[in-house]
Amino acid sequence: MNRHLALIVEDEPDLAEIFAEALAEAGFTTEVIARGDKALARLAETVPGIVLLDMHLPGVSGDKILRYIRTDPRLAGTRIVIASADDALAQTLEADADLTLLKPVGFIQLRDLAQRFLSEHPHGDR
Amino acid sequence: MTNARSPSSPQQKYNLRSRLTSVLALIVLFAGVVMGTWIITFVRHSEERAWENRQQEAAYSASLTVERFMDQVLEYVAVAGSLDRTLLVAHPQVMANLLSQNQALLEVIRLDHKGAVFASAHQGDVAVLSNLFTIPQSNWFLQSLQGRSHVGDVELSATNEPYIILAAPATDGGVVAARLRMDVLWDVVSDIRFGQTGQAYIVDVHGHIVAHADPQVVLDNTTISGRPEMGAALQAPDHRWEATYRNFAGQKVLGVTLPIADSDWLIFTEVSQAEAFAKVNQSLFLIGGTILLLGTFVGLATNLLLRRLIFEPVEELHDGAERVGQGDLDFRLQVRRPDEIGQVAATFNLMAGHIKEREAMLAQARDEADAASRFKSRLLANVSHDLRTPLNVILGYADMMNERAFGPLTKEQRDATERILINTRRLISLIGSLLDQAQIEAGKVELNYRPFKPADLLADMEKMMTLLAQRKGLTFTTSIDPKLPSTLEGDPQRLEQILMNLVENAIKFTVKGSVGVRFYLNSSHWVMEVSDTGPGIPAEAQPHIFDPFEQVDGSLTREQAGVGLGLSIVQQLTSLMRGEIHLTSEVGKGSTFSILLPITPKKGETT
Repeated sequence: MNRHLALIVEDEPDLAEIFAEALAEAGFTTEVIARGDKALARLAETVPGIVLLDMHLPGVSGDKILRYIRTDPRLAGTRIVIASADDALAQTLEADADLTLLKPVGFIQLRDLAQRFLSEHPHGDR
Repeated sequence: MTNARSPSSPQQKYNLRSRLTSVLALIVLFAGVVMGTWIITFVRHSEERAWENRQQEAAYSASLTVERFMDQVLEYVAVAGSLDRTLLVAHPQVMANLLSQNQALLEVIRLDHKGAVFASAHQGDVAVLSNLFTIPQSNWFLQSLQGRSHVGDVELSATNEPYIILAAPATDGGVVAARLRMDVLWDVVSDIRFGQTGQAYIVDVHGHIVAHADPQVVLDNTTISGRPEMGAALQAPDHRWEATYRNFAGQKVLGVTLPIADSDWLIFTEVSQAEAFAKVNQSLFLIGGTILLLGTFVGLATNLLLRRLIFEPVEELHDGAERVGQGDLDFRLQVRRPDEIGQVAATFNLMAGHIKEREAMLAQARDEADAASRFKSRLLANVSHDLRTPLNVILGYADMMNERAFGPLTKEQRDATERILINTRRLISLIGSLLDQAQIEAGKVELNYRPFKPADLLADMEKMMTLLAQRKGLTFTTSIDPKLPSTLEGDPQRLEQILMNLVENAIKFTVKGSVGVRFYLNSSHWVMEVSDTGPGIPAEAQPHIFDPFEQVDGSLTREQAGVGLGLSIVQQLTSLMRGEIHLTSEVGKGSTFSILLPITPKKGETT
C-alpha cells in the first residue's frame, strides 16, 4: 500500500486541481481520475492511502466505488473522503466513509484534514 | 337508544317523531274533549227533557188520581149535604149507611146554620166532629156557611189516626162536614211510582207535606219551606215548576210539580239525579273511553305512518349521507318514491355524483401540485448542486491565492481575495439555506441523533464567529452551565446550524455592544441562548419573524443582506427536535433567543 498516494476521483477539472493542490501541500502524491469506471480500474492495480471521492461521476457513480472499496479486503486500509454537493446522498453514505465533506470544500479545510490523516497512525494494517 | 354508529342524529329523529305524535294525539284529545262535552251536554239536556216529560206524565196522572179520589169523596160529602133534614132526623141510620159505602171517610155530620149537629155517623174511630164545642167559631164552618167548601190541614185523632176535615155548604143552608182518612190518600200517593227511584207526594200551598209514601214524613209535620229552592215551586205560576235540587230528605233529585185541580194542593214528583242522569254518566264513560281509544289509535297510527312515510326514508337518507360522508362516493340511494323524500334522495344522488367529480378533480389537482412540488424540490436540489461546483472552484482558488499558492499578495490583492471569499461563503450559505428550506418543506430532513459534547459545539461555533464579531467591534462572550451534562444526545450538525444562524443574525443586526451565547440547564430542558444588544424586534413583528422570507421591516428594501430564511429554518429544525423557541426582545435594547431542547430526545425522529 502506498500511504502517500491520494486518488482524487472528480469530474470537475478545476475542482480536481484545487483538491490535488491541497493534498499535495499536505504531503501526498496525487493522481486525478475524472471517470468512475477508470477509478475502479486504477483501484484494481494500486492501493492508495486516501481516496477523495465525488458522488456524481460519469461511468460508475461514487457510491458504487465506495461500496467496492469497502468490500475489497485489499483496500481495507484505504481512507475514503467523500466530497459531494448532494448532502442527502452524502448523509446516507456517511457511515461507510472515513470523512464526509459537503461541497464547497475549501482549500485550507482539505489541506488541514489531509495533514491530520498523514500524521495519524494508519488505519490498522489489516 | 343512541347507537355508536352515529352520535346525535337518531336521537333528534326520535325526538321529532315523539313530538309529532304527541302533538297529534293532543289535537285529537282536544277535539275529542270538545266534542264529548258537546255530546254530553246534548245528552244531558235531552235526558233532562225526557225525564221531565216522564215526570210530568207521572205527576199529571197522580194529580188526576188524587183529583178523582177527592172528587169522589167530595161527591159523597155533597150527597150527604143534599139529604133532607127531616129524613135524617127521622132515620139516623141513613147517614150511617151512606158512610159505610165509603171507606175513606171516618165521620160525616150535618149542621144547621147555627152550628148545631142534627145528624152524624162515624166508623172505626171515635166521633170527633160531633163532639166539638167550638163548631160555630171553626174556620171550616164559617167558610162553608159563606158558600165555600173547605179542605183542612192534617190532624191526628186521639187514636193517632191522621185525618183532614172537609166541609161544604149543605142544600138547606146548613153545613155538611166530614173527616177524611189521610192514610187512604197516602196509599194513593205511594202507588205512584216511576223508574227506580221515582216518587210523588202532595204539598199544600203553605208547604206542609200532606201525603207521602212514608207516613212518618207527614206525621212529623214536615214542610218544604226550609228548602228555598223547593219553595220556588209554591210561588210558580199555577204551581207548574221543574228543577234539579236537593229535596227535604237531602237527596239530589230532578223534580216536577203540578197543581191538583179544585184544591190548595200541588203534587211533587221526584226522581234521583243519579237515575235521571245515569245515561248521561254512561255516555260520559263511553265517550271518554272512545276518546282515549281514538287518541291511542291515532297516536299509534301516526307513529306508524310517520315511520313508514318519513322516518325510515329519512334514516335511509341519513345512512346514505353518512356513507358518502365517510368517503363511499360510489354509494347511491334507491329512489323508490316520487314524493319529496324521493326527490331529496335523487338530489342527494346528484350531489354525491358532483362530489365524486369534484373529488376526482381535487385528486388530480393535488397530484399535479404534488408533482409540481416534487419538481420544485428536484430543481432546487439540482440547481444548488450545479451552483455549488463553480462556487467551490471560486472558493478553492481564492483560498489558494490567499495561502500564497501563486506567490505573495500585495495588501490590495489580499483584500480583494478576502472579499471574494466572504461573498462566496455568503452565497454558499444562502444556497444551503434554500436547500434546507426546500428539504424541510418536503419533509426530507432526517435527524442523526448521536452523543455529542455541548462544550465542543460551543467551542467550534466560537472559533468561527469570534472573528466576525471582532470585525464589527462587538464583544463576544460564551458561557456554559457546569450543571449541564458533558455529553448529550442530539444531532450536532443541525444544532450547530441552529446556533450559527442565531449568532450570525445577532452579529449581523447588532451595531455596537455585545453578543453572548450561553448553554445552561433548566428544569426539563437544556437551553442554547443567544442574546444581543441590537435594535430589538417590535412586539407586533415578533409573531412573524419565524415565517420564511420575513425580515423585521418586511419591505422590499432590506437593510441587511439575506433572504430571511435563517429563523424559519431555526424554528423548523427546533420543532423537529421537539424543542421550543422563545424570544424576548425590546426595541432599542436587544433580543434574546432561547432554544429549549429535551435532555433525552426521542430517537429516530423524522418528518
